[in-house]
Amino acid sequence: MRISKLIVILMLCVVVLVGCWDKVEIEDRIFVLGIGIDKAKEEEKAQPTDRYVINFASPIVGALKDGGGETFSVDKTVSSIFTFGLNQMYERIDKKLSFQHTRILIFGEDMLKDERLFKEVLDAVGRSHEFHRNMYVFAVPGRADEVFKVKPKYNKLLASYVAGIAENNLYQSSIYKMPAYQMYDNLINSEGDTIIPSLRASKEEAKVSGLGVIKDYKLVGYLNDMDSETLNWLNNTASGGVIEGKYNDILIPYKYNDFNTNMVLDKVDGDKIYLTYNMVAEGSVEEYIWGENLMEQALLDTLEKNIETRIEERGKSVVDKFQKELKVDLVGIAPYLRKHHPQVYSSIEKDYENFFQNNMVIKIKAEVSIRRVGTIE
Amino acid sequence: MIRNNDNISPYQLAMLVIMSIIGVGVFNIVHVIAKFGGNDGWIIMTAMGIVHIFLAFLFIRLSCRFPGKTFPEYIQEILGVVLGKILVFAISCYILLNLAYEVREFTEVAKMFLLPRTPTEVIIFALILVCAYVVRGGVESVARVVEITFPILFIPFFLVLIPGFPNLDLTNLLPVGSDIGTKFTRMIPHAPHAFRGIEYILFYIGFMKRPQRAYKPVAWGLIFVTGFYTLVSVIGIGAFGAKSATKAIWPLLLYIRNINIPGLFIERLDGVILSIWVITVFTTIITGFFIVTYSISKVINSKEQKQFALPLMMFIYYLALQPAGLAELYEWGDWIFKYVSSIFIYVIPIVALLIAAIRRLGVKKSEDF
Repeated sequence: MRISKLIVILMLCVVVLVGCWDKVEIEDRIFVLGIGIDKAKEEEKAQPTDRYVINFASPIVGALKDGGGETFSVDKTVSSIFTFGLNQMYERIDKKLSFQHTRILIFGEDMLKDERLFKEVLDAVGRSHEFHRNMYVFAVPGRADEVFKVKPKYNKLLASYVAGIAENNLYQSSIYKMPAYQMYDNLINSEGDTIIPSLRASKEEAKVSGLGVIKDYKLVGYLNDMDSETLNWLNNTASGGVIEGKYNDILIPYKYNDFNTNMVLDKVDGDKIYLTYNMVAEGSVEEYIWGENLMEQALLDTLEKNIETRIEERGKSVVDKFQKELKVDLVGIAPYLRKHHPQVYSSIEKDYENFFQNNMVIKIKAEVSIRRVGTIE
Repeated sequence: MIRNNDNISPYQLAMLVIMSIIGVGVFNIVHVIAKFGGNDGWIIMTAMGIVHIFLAFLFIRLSCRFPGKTFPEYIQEILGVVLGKILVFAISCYILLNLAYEVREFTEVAKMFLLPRTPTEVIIFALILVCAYVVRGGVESVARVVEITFPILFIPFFLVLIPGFPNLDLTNLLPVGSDIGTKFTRMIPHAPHAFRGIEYILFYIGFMKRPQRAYKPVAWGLIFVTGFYTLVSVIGIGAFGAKSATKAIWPLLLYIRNINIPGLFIERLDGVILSIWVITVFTTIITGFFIVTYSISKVINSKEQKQFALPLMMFIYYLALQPAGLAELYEWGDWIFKYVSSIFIYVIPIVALLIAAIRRLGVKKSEDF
């Protein structure tokens, strides 16, 4: 009995003392902070089956600490399957890739125009346990690897630089912020429609400018900066920015720091649906013209009216664009009807796209308040 | 002083109820709720919780007829020795299967997120060895472990959930109550998915000095469980919407992975939640494992239960290794919970209560209630 106990204990020792199977030292990791994916061009292909060009941006920890030299490195790999590309990296580096802290995911234009490739990458990133969905997604009109050539001026790391721009949407609503989980939710709920903010690169900087519209997993068009801000208003995701107003031929910037949009179903008349966006903005005017007085409620009232018409015009034009040109509902009407008027929604659900284009009458009503005028009269 | 070590207090009973019901499925349960209950899953969950509280009262009623005795003992009085033993053996086998399911699901998730290179066998073995050690200590040590782990588990669990609240979009819960009838009928067969483990009450009440005092702790325990499930489903559906939550296998884990706290020394919280979750799995297994060893000892008429822990461990180990992978495991699990669990949770205790009432067995109404 005693011997058998001893044997059991010794055998347990073998199991317990064999060590940790999953030990990875933090020095042995490369934290990939940015991923860019392009469709491979003919001349880039190493093998005829190759389809993806993948760029990784990861920090060089030593240079970050001591200063000087390159602070991040960009690695490029060409592969036929997305995950292949990741694993191929192990042939060239002596560390383990870690995607725990990835901040940005960038798609090239060709990728987004190829439904098959886009769906494959979506599944790879959404399914693999290595990726989390907290990164910001961008579309590049052109190729994603252009962004990876940028050497940012104010930031040592490319990825945190680009992610930082996305987070600036707090102050400038023309920047549309799209975290990956949001994109996945959009794609699942609308079966293939979403918006992806677009990113343009020059030598020293990248610029978030407008957005790309994805319909049925395919890029169908772009919107410019101004429309991007308007879309933020429509979707109630705007939180700060500047609108141009006019009074006596003087252009006046209206700075809002609060923008709320509420959708209301006015009536269902026959086969037409009447909807209103109620927008309420609050903010200040801190620029006029020297020598003139701005502390006058009558003047401010006229100015408010002017800005309201501007918001309404812009809103209407963007809604029209989605209804007539892009033919896809990314202005939040389907979710609104589904949540608040399920009966109406279920009656039009089958032929929703058609219905959205032809039978929806959309009105925009803005209410602007100028609360403050700065420090002089 | 000679102490009787086979008693549990009402507070410990409440903890046992909570820890045996909330198990490995906490991450997966939102998926099940969203799949069958849609955006009204949380209402259905609350309603089902209330129903289960009354069901648990029936269990207590049955136990109160036989004070000082546990289910394996009094079922032999109700059904006769042979039939009773067969039934107790069947229940033990079912719980054993249940434990194997828990162990395997835990292993698969742990292997994916935490320990990709550690062999499956080692993870399973290490887990159930510790469980077997606790179970050898008898009901008192099981109850005490559960009592201690409750705050260790739930306080960090709630704390980790909080930073994600700004990401919640509660309009995803709208429209409330549309088409709720169909959702209910779709969800009802899957109730054991959430509430399996409730049948353990039948066993543990027998260890209380005065089973009449079990109503309150059991009710509180189940209220906590229901509240927890409701909260978790509101979070899961609120964060993703029912459609996306159905798409993910572990929506709650995804929710935690989506939390981003920049600047904090731990930017990712999924590691934290997974390590806490090990405790849930551990307590669920020990509460069930004790019942299995105890029931087997009653079938064989032996005095002690602890000698069964190690041999039965081998069965769990063997059963846990049987499914080919997660897909097969979930297929089997669905089948077991839908049909087998329903019989053991709902049919058998109620039939036993009816037979006991008809045959006028046990104490009809206890004096000090």
